[in-house]
Amino acid sequence: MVGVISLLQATHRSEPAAARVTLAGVDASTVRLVRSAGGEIPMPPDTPSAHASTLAPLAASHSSLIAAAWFAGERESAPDVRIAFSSFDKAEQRWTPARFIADRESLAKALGFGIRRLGNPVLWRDDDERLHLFVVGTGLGGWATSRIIHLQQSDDSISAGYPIFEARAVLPLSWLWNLSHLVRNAPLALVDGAIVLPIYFELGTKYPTLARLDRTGSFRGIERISRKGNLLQPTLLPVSEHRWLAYMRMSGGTQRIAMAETKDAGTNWLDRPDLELPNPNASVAALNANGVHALTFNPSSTGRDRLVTATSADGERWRISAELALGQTGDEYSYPAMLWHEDALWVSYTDRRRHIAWQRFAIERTTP
Amino acid sequence: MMGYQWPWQASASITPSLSALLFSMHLGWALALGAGSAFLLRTFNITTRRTVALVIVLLSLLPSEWSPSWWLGLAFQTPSLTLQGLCGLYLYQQLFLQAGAEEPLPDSSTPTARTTWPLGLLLAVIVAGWIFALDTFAFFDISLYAIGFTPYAVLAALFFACLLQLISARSGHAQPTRHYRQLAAIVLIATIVHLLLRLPTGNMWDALLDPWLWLMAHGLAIYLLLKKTPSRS
Repeated sequence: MVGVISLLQATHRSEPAAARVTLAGVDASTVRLVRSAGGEIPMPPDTPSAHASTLAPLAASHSSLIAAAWFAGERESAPDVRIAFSSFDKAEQRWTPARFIADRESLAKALGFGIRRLGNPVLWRDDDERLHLFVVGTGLGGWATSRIIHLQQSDDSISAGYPIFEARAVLPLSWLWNLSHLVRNAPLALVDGAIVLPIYFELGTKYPTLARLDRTGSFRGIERISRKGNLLQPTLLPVSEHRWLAYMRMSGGTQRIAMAETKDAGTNWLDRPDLELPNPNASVAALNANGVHALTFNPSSTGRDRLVTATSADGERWRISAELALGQTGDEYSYPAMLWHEDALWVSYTDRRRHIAWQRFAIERTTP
Repeated sequence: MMGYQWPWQASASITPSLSALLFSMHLGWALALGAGSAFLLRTFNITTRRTVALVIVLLSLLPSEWSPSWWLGLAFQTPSLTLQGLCGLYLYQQLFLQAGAEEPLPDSSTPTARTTWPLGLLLAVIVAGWIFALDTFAFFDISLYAIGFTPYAVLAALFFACLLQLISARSGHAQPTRHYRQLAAIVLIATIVHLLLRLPTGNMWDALLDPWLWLMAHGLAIYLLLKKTPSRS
């Protein structure tokens, strides 16, 4: 028995890899975000609604620099919603025409069971420069019956203008018919090429968790971030290799951005006091941009009509560094995604549900 | 909770391949629905039972919208290996072991046999299911479902299967012993199939117990308790 247990322990990895992170020790008060470009990402023809974008870098050999994906159709949760894709062309310095890369019919056919609705795509490029797409597919019901479907770019489309995705797996995340797990924010890359994918549960109670996948995208397990029942859509910020912060959208409660912390690369988490920043029950996005901690959020507890990016030195005290959008009451600028690539900070977000807007920033460090 | 790779090479996946998952899901629902039809038609003659069960099983194996598995997978994903094993055994007993009889014979679904199911075992299944259900809603500090991806869960499953074998070996030749023995064999087979193929999802708990099996255990336990309660008249 002792031998069996020893064998099991030897094969059971208990030391998760550290995050890929730049430790620049930047003073946030000396950081300035300088907008260098921006606009709208083209929509697929005859598609009135867009939401929940995601960004990822493309292969070095690709003609485009980065990719964006989002869900688009008649409206959120409509039967015709599909996953749209566009990429930022290096030569022309503009986004390519959007095309649909995933739909529920072809996904259902590949998986062998029905899918009612699609939503919340998240892109990830692995170290072999292959794109992965995580997408929410609903079961018999609304978003609360969702499951997370993992798709992978086919071998022969890595350098192609538009990727071709193949269904790879349904992530096993709960015992109860694998119900009610969703994905929204970008994964955190680890030094061994693996990722930590922030996800959340939202059937009745809402709590954030994370899934681990190895460098090839094989599922490796799950860990819970918090047991609080009103937190969802976690986004991860690596402050150091092993110390990460998770920021979460809050449904009810203090209507502020919630925070949790790990000091052992995601194995154990501790709820921390909510940030001073308000949250109107809306998604936020965090990123370590070459040592600069950045957070994009709606600075209001009631509406999504304003969207800003803030910077911080410690991940706890934030200073607004850029205003992305300011609309009228009732307008919606929401669901931000961020990417640090080739010395630029890229931000995309939902623009009044009509299309996806984007902005690019240079990070300048001023003398204090 | 990090997943394990034993006993395969370090790069092995801890979840089943998509094709294995797809086949397992359709086979699982085919067995479950086939067994369900055999149960509902248990008073019919063997030809009717066989024909209906065969049609349902074949339909369930179809990889299309015409298959009940397509819709059951949409709602409930896939049955556990234990439920698949129990349904497969029931189907075999109903359609083949009793094939020589013109009239249906008493079987494990009849009241006489059902009363012999060990209540303790049913209660253990019910308690385990409640624990997993509460765990789904983050009732506990640690995620028990996450442990299902570790080798400790496999060890626990093997221990449980051995315990069932031990109980059945010590219980003589009464009817519960047969059930224990069959269930012990099914649990052992489920554990081994999970180890080899990672079915049905990559999580050991999913291989052993699913919500439908848990709900059925509730129904059977309530039935047994009512039968044991003496009548006032």
